[in-house]
Amino acid sequence: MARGMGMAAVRVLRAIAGGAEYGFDIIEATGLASGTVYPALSRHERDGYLRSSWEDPVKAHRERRPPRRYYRISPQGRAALDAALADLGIEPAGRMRPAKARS
Amino acid sequence: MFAKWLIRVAAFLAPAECRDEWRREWLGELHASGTRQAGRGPVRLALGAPWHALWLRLERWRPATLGADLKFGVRVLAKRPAFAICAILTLGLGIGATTAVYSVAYGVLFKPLPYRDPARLVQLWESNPLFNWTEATIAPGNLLSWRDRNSSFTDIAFYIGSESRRSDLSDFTLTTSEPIRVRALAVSVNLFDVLGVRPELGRVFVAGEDIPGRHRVAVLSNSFWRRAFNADPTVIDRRVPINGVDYQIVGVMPSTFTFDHADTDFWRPIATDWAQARQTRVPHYLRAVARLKPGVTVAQANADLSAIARDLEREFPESNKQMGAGAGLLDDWFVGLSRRPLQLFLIAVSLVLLIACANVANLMLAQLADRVREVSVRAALGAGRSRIVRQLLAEALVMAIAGVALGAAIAVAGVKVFIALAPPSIPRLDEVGLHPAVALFAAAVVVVTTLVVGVLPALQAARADLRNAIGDGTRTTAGPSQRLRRVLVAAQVALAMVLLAGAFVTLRSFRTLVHVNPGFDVDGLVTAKISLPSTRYADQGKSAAFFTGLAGDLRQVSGVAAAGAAAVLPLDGQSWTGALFIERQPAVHGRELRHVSVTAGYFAALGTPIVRGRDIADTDTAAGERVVVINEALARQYFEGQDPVGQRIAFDQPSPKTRWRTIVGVVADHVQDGLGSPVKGEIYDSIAQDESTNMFVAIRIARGAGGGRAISAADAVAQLRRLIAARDPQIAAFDPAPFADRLAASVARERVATVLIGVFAAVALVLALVGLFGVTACAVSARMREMGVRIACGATSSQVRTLVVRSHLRLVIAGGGVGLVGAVVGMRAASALLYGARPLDVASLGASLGLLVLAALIACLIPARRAARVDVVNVLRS
Repeated sequence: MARGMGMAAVRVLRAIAGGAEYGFDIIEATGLASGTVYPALSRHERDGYLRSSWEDPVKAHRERRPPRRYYRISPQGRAALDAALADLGIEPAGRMRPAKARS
Repeated sequence: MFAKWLIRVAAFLAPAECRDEWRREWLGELHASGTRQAGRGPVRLALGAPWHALWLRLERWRPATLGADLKFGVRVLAKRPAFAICAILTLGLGIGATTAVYSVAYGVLFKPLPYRDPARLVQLWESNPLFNWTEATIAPGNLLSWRDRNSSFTDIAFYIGSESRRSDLSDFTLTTSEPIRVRALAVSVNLFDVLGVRPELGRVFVAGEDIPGRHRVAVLSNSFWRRAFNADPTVIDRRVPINGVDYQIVGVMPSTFTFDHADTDFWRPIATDWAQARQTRVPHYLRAVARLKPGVTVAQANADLSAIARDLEREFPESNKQMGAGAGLLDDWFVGLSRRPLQLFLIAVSLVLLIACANVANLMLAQLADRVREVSVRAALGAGRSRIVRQLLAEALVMAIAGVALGAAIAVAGVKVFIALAPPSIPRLDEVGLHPAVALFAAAVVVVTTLVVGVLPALQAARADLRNAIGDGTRTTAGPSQRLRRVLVAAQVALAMVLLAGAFVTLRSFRTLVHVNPGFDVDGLVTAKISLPSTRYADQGKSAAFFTGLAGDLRQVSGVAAAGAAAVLPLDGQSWTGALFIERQPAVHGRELRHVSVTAGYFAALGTPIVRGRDIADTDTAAGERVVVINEALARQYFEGQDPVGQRIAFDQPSPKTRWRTIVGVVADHVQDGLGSPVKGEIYDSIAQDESTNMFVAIRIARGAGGGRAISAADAVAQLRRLIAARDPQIAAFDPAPFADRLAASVARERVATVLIGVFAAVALVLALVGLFGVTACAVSARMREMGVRIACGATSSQVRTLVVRSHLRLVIAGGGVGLVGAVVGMRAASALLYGARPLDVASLGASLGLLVLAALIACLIPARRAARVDVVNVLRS
């Protein structure tokens, strides 16, 4: 597995590659606990596998909710994910949809 | 609601620089989960928040940054070598002393005994208020009755015991090429089974080997097997001549096995006529170990034994009047009397560690005050508070690592020194060594120490008003830091006071003890033990003839003033006791006396005067009238106001068959069990009338022409060996030594305690003074300008000196006062363990307080002199 990435970290990265965008989205897509998902996100961001950005506050305000932090996979993250999946003997899938529809 | 609250609290765990962002993200996530998962969804989500915050916090300290921080820590410390050396030495001393003493305490106190399920093993004893017996040796008849009737034990094993708690090893002579001394313990054949231990080679004893004729079998200790047989595995079934009789070696125990005495060479079965033993309810000479049945508690076993003892008292009122029985955990039994002193040492050494921690924290605070400007500049250049705290922690860690390394070296050396110095009376000393559990303890100490020395100053740094410091760094002394340092110094002084008072009390007790008059002149007295093989010397009169003849031969040697022999030597710790009945006086139970066989000339050799009547003489033969000499203690106790000489006594209940013994003399009292122990009533009878094959020879060397000794102790021993060889070349003299050596060995325990507590107190005092000096010097540096102004306004040097000393002596008085209270409490606890110590020793308290104040005065005066000599012009200009 690429750089000793754990199974949970791979699942988080795969969920984002599959279209999940923010923390709770990823929890729903992977079924992992929040105490696992958020540290994994922070670690992927530190390693350059993910990039994060804040949602437009105006949009959030219009929807009467706090702004969200969105995560996107970087080319480096994509390569790491492919390598990790190859290590696991899994075909690097295209897009994986979250288990449930997003709000 | 709970979820939001949890996130807000967890936010404090997150690093400050990303805290706001972190909180925003989590609140956003919480909203998302709330809209999609009602009920416990948000709470479940929020439970991950503390982990995430903690992860971010720890992530800041990855190996790469940790390495950089540590390197930086080393560089910072290298720039302040005096501070670094002081701090590392302090830590090393504290950690090393603590680990060493805890290792010893673990080996002796806490390590489980090397037997199967040791928590179920108990020691049994007899008690009798008539004789003041509390944990006494057991009569064979009583022990066998307990074994038959109890319902608490799976089995009871026994061995020959002494009046002290220890087992009674017998000396033998192994004659292969030349005679060597071997020590054996006689045990019941089931001892190894009860303990649950297996031999390394061969077998242990089997049933039937306790019958005379089949009992010449031996199980060797591992060390003896290696020493005498070069660890030869074919040793099993070999026959070796011990005391002239062939013993068959049946087994070798593993090196981990010891039982009571570590220097036991082999074990042999107790063999006797067991039918006869069942009737023998006097004398009492056995010690017993039993294994509790599953589910039986020590209290239940005690109740069981007491009930049996009451039955025995009814059945055998003559011998068993008020004879009780008891049991206690074997572990407690072996550690027994060493537990309290070792616990006190643990407290003492913990105080040293506390002082060491306080001192390092103090040193850190002192240098931090100097570094406020540097820290402030770094903060101004953008270093976050957490970054600064982390670097300070890294410095503490570097010091802790160095301190641990030094501490480990000190601990290893300390344990070795302790084992070398410790008296053999401390049990299980052979099992002492640095141990993983102790290493863990040391690690815990290090973690605490690192936190104390790292976090406290770090918190101070974080609190300091950094902007002010940049503007006016030279005058800033970090107020809270100064206050904390003063408190730390006062605490150190208090702890040092407790240890100093402890050291003074111990020293006074030791001085009193070694000045106790033993009752004879120790100088010029040489003693040795001789053990005759009972097989060849069993015939009536043979051993008496040997020792009487040997004493006579010795007296002919030029340079020997007197010589004699006795079955028990002062300080030997062994004695036979019996009951005392006096002719024409009502028979009273419970009068106990000790009796010792001696040859003529023994008292002259000791130098103890006969105060009435006459000495035992060579003419007191087996055929003659039975005579005894009594000591003054016995005369005072039972013949007050009358002349004991001419009166007759017996050891058994008077009857027509009683063999009365006539008192022919009274000898002055001399030391028996140990210096400071009360002298008990004792009688001495002639070896010809009370034979013994094990005797100590005492030789008094004459004074020479120049006031010195006519011959040396070594010459006297050489003469003794020559004379023994002339009588029987197969006999050896064991432990030949000047009596002064025995006397010194008898107080070795107290000497070690005094030295150790003295070292602890000295270390504590030095550490406290270093702390006090540091605080005073730092305060003087900070107040230089003020001092300059005072001098400029007309204050004299002595006024400035007094000002500085007075303000810091207040710390000493405050700390000393608190310490005084602690010392009084500690003294009460320690006085029960120390000879001649009073619960409140005002002189020791005064001396320690005086020493503390005097030393503190010197520590304050050095910086105070600097303050008084301040260059007014320079200081005011700067």
